[in-house]
Amino acid sequence: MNIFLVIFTYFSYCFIAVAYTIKIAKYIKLPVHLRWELYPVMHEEKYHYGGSYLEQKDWWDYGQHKSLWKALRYLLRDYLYFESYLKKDKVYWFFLYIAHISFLALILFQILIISSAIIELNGIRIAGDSASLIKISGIICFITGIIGNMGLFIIRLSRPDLRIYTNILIYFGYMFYILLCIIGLLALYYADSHFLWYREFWKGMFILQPISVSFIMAIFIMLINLHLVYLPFTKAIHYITRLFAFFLIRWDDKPNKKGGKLEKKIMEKMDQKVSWLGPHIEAGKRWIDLAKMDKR
Amino acid sequence: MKIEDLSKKSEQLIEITPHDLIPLPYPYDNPTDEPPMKGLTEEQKARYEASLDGILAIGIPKPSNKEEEEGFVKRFLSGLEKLLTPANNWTFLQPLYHSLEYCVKCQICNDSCPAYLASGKKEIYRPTYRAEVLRRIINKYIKKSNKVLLKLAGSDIDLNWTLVARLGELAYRCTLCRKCAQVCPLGVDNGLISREIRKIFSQEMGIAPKELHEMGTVQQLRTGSSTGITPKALGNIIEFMEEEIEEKTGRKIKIPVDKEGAEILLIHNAGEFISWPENTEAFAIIFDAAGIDWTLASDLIGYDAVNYGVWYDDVQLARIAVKHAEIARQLKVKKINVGECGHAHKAMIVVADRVLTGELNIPRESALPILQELVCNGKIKLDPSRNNFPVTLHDPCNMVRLMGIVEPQRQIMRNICPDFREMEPHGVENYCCGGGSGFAIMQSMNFPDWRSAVSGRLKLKQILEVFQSVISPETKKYVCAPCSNCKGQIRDLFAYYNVFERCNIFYGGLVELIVNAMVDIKKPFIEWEWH
Repeated sequence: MNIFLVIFTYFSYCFIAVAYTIKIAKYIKLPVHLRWELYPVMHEEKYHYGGSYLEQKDWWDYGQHKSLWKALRYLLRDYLYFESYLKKDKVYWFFLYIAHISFLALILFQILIISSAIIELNGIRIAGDSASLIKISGIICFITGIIGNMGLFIIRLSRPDLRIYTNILIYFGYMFYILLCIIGLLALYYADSHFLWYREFWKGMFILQPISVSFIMAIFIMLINLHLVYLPFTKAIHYITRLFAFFLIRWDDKPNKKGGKLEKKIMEKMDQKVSWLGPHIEAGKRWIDLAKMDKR
Repeated sequence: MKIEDLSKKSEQLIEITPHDLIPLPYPYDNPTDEPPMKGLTEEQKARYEASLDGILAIGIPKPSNKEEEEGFVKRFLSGLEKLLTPANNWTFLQPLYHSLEYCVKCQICNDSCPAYLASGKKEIYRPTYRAEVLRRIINKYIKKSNKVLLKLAGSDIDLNWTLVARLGELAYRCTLCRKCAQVCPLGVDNGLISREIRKIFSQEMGIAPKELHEMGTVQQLRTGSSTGITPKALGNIIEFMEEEIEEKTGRKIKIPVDKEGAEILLIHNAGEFISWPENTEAFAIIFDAAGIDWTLASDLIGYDAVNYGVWYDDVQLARIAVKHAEIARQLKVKKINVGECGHAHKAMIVVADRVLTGELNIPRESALPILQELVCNGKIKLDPSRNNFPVTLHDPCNMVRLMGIVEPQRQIMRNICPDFREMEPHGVENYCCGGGSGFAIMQSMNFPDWRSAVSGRLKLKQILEVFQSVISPETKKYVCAPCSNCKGQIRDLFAYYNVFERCNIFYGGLVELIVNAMVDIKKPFIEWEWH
């Protein structure tokens, strides 16, 4: 059992890392696209009212004043309190918000456990306060996880506009997470009041000397691992893809300059052959030929 | 109503009654006064697929036999497959991929959609509805997920002729205003999904509304303009404009045409020449008064800025954009300025920016910043008291939310209109006029009634609200819409509800207001005559 837990833990961390890397690589590798920005573009000087550099006469004579900081500040603020949801639907926002606090607390909990295990393996004793921090992050994660996911489960089930768009897997995701949180609370209460054994488990993981953990703790570890394996099959990566959507699509207002890198990329794309069969398109021709051909 | 209902045969999925529609303010606050939407004739119903909502935008003919039916579905699937490949759809694959993969179906976008809200929240108009249908088709028929997983993921849907035909029509119930995308916290763009569905129909199946394709882009490429104006006819129109300018203002202005090496090539939406020549005349008067070195082009396509391809077909979009740039290159102008046309702004300046390379990458900009400079820096003498009537500004989605051109037009208005009133919401959060994405020019069967009663309803509501304190017909009021298609939609919307007669609200462009305020023009330029 101990060996199995160790192997499964290594596997689940590797699995999520590989799966997410593949997903991110697939996203980034998608070809350059036509401009399709949407204002306000947060790195713009005039972002406060949604203005753009196109308001400037002869805009090409002036450099673009992009502020990455403004864009990041907007995203951070939205990550911190989900402004869009707060404005539109306060009940949904409340449960969604605490469900996300739980998710972030779970990440923090794991980071604290793993880093404290590494620190102790290096001969440095962890002070009692740090152990309390782990416990607090765990408790926040489990309690908010139960309330948030239960709330979302009920809202999705009770509101017709959400119900018809919600599938069994989404409900399963909420239930699975609630189960993880309940088992976490039980493990804390009955088996490991400061998650010290969990930390020992991680130390054993690193030095390849698995230790025995209680049954309830073993279930908790299993559920965390299963959760990691399950995540790539959900939309949870939106924490990351959201950044791409904003920077690569919604705020992508980069003008195409003569002789620039972007122009080179576009020319490569225009050189590709198309196979569309519409009567006004000659399949097999390149984009560039089609664009220059005034097919009637 | 469920997602899968779209594929189930029924007489009509939804019906819109006056009581469903969002209420309008005084004097339109009695739903029984609502003009009845035209129904389809029995012949039209028998001939075309109209079982979505009883409205026809495309008018897809019903199949005559099983083979035709199967061929139609097969062609749709092959188009869908191409839509997801980099070679065929490099133009929009990344934004499409994101929107298909990362919607969490939180429905936060719904209340931003003018058509969905105005219709009384009809399920099929929900911005996420058509996207979810497409997603299910992809999961089942392109990715070929296994049956159990499809059930669990709620991705089961039957692909049949009814579904495909209804989905095609449904893609033309979204104005592509992208207000739903603007509020999505995850960057999902359901407007784009509508556009991509339109693309499958056009680029693979050869199906598009006649006004956009045959009489739109195809006619523009063949005769020079989607209006049918030929280069020869343009010459006559310009002569007429010069005469009318002289008649109205006493000024003799020679409108420059094909002037090689001019600073500016000004391209109007050619609809202006026919429906609102006062707009193109006003541009000529302002540019002449300011001593600007400008020209119009008379070459095929060079006098019509429209590019309907931006709404439904990337190939047609690219063809027209290349033609515009080619004409500017031949005339050796320094830059292209786009007149008061929102989608032409978006297509020529922004979207086509990644189509035009090398010598074709001619600087392109909106005419609004130049007008702003002329008005705000006192380069033409203006008397704001000449515009002493309540004025509001409609924000064309393409210029504002999709390009970030928000302030130039407002600064002009603040300078020349003492009673300038903002609608709520405005700027990048505006509501579409209801005629976006080609709707304003689509006149087939009973579609114009739908776009007045449904897609344009929130705009009418905003206009009535902003003028509520002066709503009586004794006070003349002006809606400034610096976009040809928006003006067309507002004209039809006002005619449908008799707004000019009942409330004395007129509409027009921005340059007309500027010329109306010019001190050295004796007669008022705005004539307050309904057309």
